Parts: sequence; structure tokens; C-alpha cells
Amino acid sequence: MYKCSKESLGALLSAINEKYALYVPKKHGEGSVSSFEAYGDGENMYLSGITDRGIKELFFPQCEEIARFVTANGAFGVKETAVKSGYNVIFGARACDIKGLQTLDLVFLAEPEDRLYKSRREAGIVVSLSCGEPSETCFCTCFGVDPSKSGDIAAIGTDGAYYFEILTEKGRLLIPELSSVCKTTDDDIEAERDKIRAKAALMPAALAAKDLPDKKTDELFDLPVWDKLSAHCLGCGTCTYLCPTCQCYDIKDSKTADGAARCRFWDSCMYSDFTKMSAGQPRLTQKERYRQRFMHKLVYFKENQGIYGCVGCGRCVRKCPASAHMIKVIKELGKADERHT
Amino acid sequence: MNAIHDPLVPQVCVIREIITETPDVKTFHITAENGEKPFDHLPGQCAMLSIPCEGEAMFSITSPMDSDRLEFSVKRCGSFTNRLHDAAPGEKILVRGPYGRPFPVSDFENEDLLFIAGGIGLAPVRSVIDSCLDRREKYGKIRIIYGARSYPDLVFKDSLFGKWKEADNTEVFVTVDRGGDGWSGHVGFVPQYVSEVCNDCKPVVILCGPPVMIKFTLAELTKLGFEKYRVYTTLEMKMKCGIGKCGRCNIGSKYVCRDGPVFRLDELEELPDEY
Amino acid sequence: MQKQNGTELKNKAKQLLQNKTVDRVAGFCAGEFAYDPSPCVFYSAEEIEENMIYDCFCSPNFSKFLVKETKKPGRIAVFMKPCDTYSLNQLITEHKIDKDKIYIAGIGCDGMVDVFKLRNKTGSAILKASCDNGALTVKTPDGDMTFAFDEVLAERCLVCKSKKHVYYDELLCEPSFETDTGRFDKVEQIEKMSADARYEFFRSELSKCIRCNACRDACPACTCETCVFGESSSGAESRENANEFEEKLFHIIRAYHVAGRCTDCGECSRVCPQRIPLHLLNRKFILDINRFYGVYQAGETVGQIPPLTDKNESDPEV
Repeated sequence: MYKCSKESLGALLSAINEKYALYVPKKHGEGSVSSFEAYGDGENMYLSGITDRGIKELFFPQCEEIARFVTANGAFGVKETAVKSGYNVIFGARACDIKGLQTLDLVFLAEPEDRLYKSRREAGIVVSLSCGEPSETCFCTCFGVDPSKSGDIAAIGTDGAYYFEILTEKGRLLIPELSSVCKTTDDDIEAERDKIRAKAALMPAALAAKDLPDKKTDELFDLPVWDKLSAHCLGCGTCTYLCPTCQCYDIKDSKTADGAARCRFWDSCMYSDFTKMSAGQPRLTQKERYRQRFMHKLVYFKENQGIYGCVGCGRCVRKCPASAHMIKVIKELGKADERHT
Repeated sequence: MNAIHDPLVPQVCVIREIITETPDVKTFHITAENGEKPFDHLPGQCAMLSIPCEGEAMFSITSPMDSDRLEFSVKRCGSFTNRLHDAAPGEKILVRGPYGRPFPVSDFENEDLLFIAGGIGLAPVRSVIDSCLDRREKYGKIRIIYGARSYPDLVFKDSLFGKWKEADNTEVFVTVDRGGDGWSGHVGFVPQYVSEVCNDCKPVVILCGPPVMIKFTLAELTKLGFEKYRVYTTLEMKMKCGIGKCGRCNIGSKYVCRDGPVFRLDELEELPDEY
Repeated sequence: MQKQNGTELKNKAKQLLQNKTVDRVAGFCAGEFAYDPSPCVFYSAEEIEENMIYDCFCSPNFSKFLVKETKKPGRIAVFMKPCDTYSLNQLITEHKIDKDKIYIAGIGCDGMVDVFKLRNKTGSAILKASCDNGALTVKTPDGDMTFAFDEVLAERCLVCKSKKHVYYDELLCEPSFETDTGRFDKVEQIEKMSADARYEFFRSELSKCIRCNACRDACPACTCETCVFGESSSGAESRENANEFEEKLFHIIRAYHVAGRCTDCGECSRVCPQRIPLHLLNRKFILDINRFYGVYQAGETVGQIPPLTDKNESDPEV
């Protein structure tokens, strides 16, 4: 384990930034939202809470080119977009967002692997920062997330110091930078971690969502409560775009000077044309779309992958313009449980 | 030419031949640029066809598994299919695949087979029929029931009234919803025709067609006492990736692109009613 | 402005159901947290008693939601804040809402809290919150905090365009005509910028857009059955913000489309997860309309003809 004073964090990050592309959470003033950005001069770092936007977009960008089609002199070629090589570092990620990546892995790294996601995942060294300031909307502990420890390297802030524990082989790549600024230590920080875990588990959302539905599709699909839950859903894509585990995408071409570029970009199951075909539309109203999103997170994903497709980051809870959020769904589906038994 | 590693990136192919089946259906014969088949496939599998900036969509492969080219029968029904219908032989087209779970043709060996199709639904079924006829000795009696709106709307007329009709131990029953246009055969809907043709036999069923036809035919088959695990059909949903990742073709926890498009009736009945 | 409390609303709602004035009531139900009440439709006195609330977090504008709600049979009562009634008038004018199917009870409003601002101030979990006498008290794990209302109110409330109800069947508060000015200050500041600075301002704000479409979906003036930006066959559908031009196009086209009909309700900025001050585009149009055609407030009365769809000899373009 490595230890540095709170004041030395800047020196450590600068050392990392010299060798790697470094991304840190930033917030530019009170009116702006927080998100992960290039370290730059280290100004405007925001380390005191979960960011408005997570780290998903560093691995699965909102829009990325997958191929180019080149038409020249009657010839017609396809060129795959090259992947970038070399490592980069993400500092300050929260454990919920890292669990989000592990959830995305189950989809994107399953055969056939998603080439672009995989390359970014392999290149990304993720340094978590313990989450000592949970929000009332946090319920990561319901999904087995440890808010004090995650990623390739787990950083934890105590009163006067930061501790860094290397958790993976990839994390060892930063030993030179850690050694240049930090001392090694045998300090026991488990008590600090326990405090963080305990605080997170007591958040109102965590208490409200502690009974997750453990039911099959046919037990929940036709519940009348979906009408009530979805009644005021606007059908916007806010929840899906901010969600660390939402991975739906669309593929579309745009014209370039010498042909076309094929891009894939985020799409949302909340949108009315998501499943609309020339031949018909299986999800006709917002109720079906809303049900799809929450059934996917709480039931379908679990049936396919063995874990829930939600990590309890609470972004959808904070940002839904109609408060038609995950906590309400979990509680209502929990009541369905009572009705069944 | 760069090697393609990304399952989302298509290869350049060429439309070799275009056959006009009906006023709104054309069959496209496609090979790689070097004239070879772009990839191997099994009956029931699909592939993504695209033209840069014009769209990309999933179509079932109509040709049998031993064919040296890929064939797609495409009904004109949206912007991309309109564009395809305007294509000419020799034109380049982008193809990726094959996708999806095929019909388990090896499980069908030694069985009597009943193919039931409506409209453009004969496209995926044709791949199975021709694959079985290519190995005729391995299968029992083959019956084909096919219906369309009218005589001009019948696809694959050469096969229906030629090759299939003349094949060994094979019967073809064609019906149209509406007579006239030079049609002198059976008039009526497919589900009713099924009970006329097959009230005392219990072959394996391969069924494909518009949702309403599937619905009534399944009801008819159930009434006739067909066992659910011997009835196969295909589903259609909007698709973008073809590999179970883009998240839109699921019905409950099953992805039609990956877990389908072929489903057995007993599997179908376990899915939530959202297709 | 005198504001009703939850109990007064509950009693009124139950009375309207009991005397059969309406067969259902739209209001706010208590949310999961102190600050997230959501729009609800109540069918019985029991539901009302159990769940209905009204406090300084009841921000959403109910008017758009009535477009769908009034397509159902029966009559619905709605509690409306003054600013909501402007959007309602506009929707009635555009024949999107049938007057005969609604019963509007006007309620007072002291402004609504912007939870994002509040979160910035607390820097800690919000466990409880209550508003009294112009102050907001918040319980956090680090202790209680009190904020003056002005510190945590939404921008649209700080420059409230009017405390007057322009449509109601019944007013539960004293009528008020109080209006604030200063609504166009920020627009005028932006107008004074150099062209480059102005371009940069909007470029940097609009480039934050993630195309979630929440602004469109919440906007009471966006009531197209199918939006050109959500329909793949339109040729204009695009969700990605791959190219900057696209995303500017979306917001600017939207601002043009609602120009003259936008009442400046501020829902677009309220729902934006990226905190883009989208209302500024709309306000610029409103200010220009005021200058060119005389002061005009969309939604002030039912049936008024917006200057942009009217033509007369005094128009500057004639």
C-alpha cells in the first residue's frame, strides 16, 4: 500500500499525466455539471461526490466511428477504424461506475467481442476513489458494490492522507509514479473503509431498495403497476444516457469527402422509434418502453448474466424529470412480491 | 484491402443477379468480389445488407446451405428496401453475417416435414426446403403449404410449380386469399388449408409468415394435436448489430438476432407477449 | 404570495371529487425523497389523503401532461401555479386541450427550489427538507442547514414573469398581479457580447448536449405527434452529437419552432441533465418579438394571435 499527503495528490497526478493520458472528474463552477475530463492543468477537479456523468463514455463514447467506406475511381473499399494503443489512466472513479464497467463487460466482451470497447477497456487503468460523501440517492450497496474499494488501484482519502492499494496486475503499471510521490506503508485502513461502507448502506435510497425483486419475467411482466409507474414518463433518454450500464446503440452512416463513415452511437429504449420497423412496432406506448428498461435491468439481465443490470449509482433517480425512477420501481415490484405470496 | 475483424464491419460484395419475383419482391444473388460465397450459412440464418448512407437491415438468407452464393428475397416496404429494389446487377453491396440460430436441419433427419409459409415468409423457408431437397434421402415425406394474397404475389413460382413439385415424395399445396389474375388453384387462407392437408399426419412443422397468419396457424396446429416441441417458426424485430449487443431486438431475456430468429413453439410460449 | 399547504389542497381535491365536479384530480404525490414529488392522478379521497402534497419542490408544469390526460373520458381537476396557466392557455389556443374537460384550481407559489443548486450548497446527502417563511431547512448527515429562498430558487422563479393566474375555474389564493422584471437581463448581456464571444457562449453551452431530448419532451410548446428529430424516415433524425452542427441545429430549430408560442415556462432548462440554459434561446426570441411587434406574452389569453402568425401593416417587415 502507498500513502501520500493530501497536498501531494497534485504531484502524483502530474507524474501520471506525464506518462499517460489522464482523466479526472471536473466541475467548472457551481452551475455546471461534473464529468470526467483530461487532467490538463489540474484545475477544477471535483473529488467530493459522484459525478453527474460517469466513466462509461470513456470506454463506450456517445458516438464513435467503426469503419470508413471509400469510393474512388469506381473502386469501393471498407476500412476498419484503427484502435488506439497505449494505456490511459482514469483517476477518481467511483465503485458504482466501475461495477458499471464490469456489467458492460458481460455484454461487450462476450463473443463476438466488441473490438473498440475491448481495446479501451484493456487500455484503461482505473483508479477508484473511495466514496465518503454518498448522496441520498445512492444504493450501490444493494448490488454488492464496495464504495471504499474498487478498480485496478483503490484510493481512499482519510483526514490527512490518500492511501493507494493496488488490486490488479494492470494497477502495478503505476508503481513507478506511486513510488515517486508516495511512501509504502503498513497502516491498517480497514476501519476507514468500514466507515464508508456503513455510511453508504444507510443512505435513504439504499434502505428503500434493499429488497430487490428476485422474480422471473412472467411474474412481473403483466403487473398492472407498470401503468402507474410509467404514467408520467416523458420518454426522454436522460436515464439511459446517464446510466453506467445502458449499452444500447444505433449504427448510422454519414457522408465524408471520399465516401462515408459508419458510426455507432448511443440509443435509448425509451425512444418511440427504437423498435419501430416498416413492418410494425412491438412496443407501442411509453408503458412498454418503460417496462422494457426496468425489466431489462432487474430481470432480463439477471436471467442472462446472473447479476442485476443496475449498480445503484442513483443518477436516474436524481435526473429523471418526472421522478419515474428506479427506486420507485424496485419498491413497487417488491410489493408485487407480497401479492404473490 | 484491410482484413475485417470487427463483427460490425461489413465486407464489400457484388449483386450478381436480380430476379423479380412479384410486383414488390425481388431476389438478389450476391457473392464476394472474387466471386466466392461471402461466408457459409445454415438455413434460417440472416445477414445484414447495407449501402453506405442508405441504410442497413437484416434479411434472411433464402438460398440453401450448399449454394455458392447468398440469395435474399426482399419485399419493398421501407426506404432501404426501396433503394435495394432500384439496384442493378454489378452494383456493390455491403454484407455481414451470418447471424442467428438456424433451423436444426440435422434434427429433422428421418422425419416427415411440413413447411407452411405465407407471403414473403417463404424466403427463410426456401433455404430449409432446398437444403433438405439437396439431401433428399435423409428426410421423409415433404409437404409444402404456401399462401399469398393473390397469384401475382406468389414468390418462387419456378420452385413451387417446378423443382419442388417434381421432387421425390414431395407435395406442394398453393393457395391464394383472392382468386383471379389467371389463378385456377385453391383459394382460401393458409390456416384452414393446413387442416385440410394435414389432419391425420404429425410431421415436424416449419412455419413462417406474417404475424397474423402465424397466430392462426399455430392455433390450428394446436387444435390438430401437433406437439409444441415439433413446431418451429421465426420472429422478426428491429435489429442494428445482429450480435446481441445493441439491445433492441429482445423479447424478454431473449435476443431475436442471437437466440432466434428460429424459435420452437414451446420456447415461443415462454416469451412475454411483446412481439 | 400566499401559498397553499398540502392540507388545503387535499381538502379541495376531495371536495371536487365528492361533489362530482370532476372524476379525477391531478396533483403531486410525495416522492421517495424530500424533493422529488411527481405528477399523479388521484381517483379517490383515500389516495389523496395518503399521497397528495404541495411544497417548494413541486416544479413540473402540468399543462403538457393535460394534452394526453384530456383525451381520456371525464373531467380532471388540476392545481396550477400561475406560470403553468400561461402554457395551459397556449395549449387551449392551439386546440390541444379541451377546456370542458378540465377544472383548474389556481394555487399560490413562492417559487420552486432548484435541487441541483441546493445540492451544490449542501455538498452532502439531503435527508429531509422543508420550506417555511422564505427559508429552506435541510437535514443532512452533517447536521441541519438553512438557506434563504433566494439562494436556492430556480432561475425561472428568481425572475418570475408573473404571479397572476391567467386561467382558472377557481382561485385558491388571493389574486396577484405581481410581476418581476430582470427576465431579459441575461439576454441583453449576451446581445452586448461581440459576435465571436456570443458564438463561443452558445457553442460551449450547446456542445454539452447529449441529445436525450428531455427539453423537447417536457416542453409544453412541443406537441407534435411525431417529431422530425425522432423519426428515422424524416431524414433529419439524429441522436448522436458527433458533429457540432447537428446539435446546434436541434436546439436552434426547436427554438424557432416554438417562437411566439413559448411562454417562457422554463421547463427545458429545468429538465436538462446537462444544465444548458436553453431558455435563453427562447427568451431572445421573446425579447425580439417584444421589440418588433410590441410586448407580447404567449399564453396570456386564450385565442390570442401570435405576432409571428399574424400580419398587419405596422409590422417591421412590411
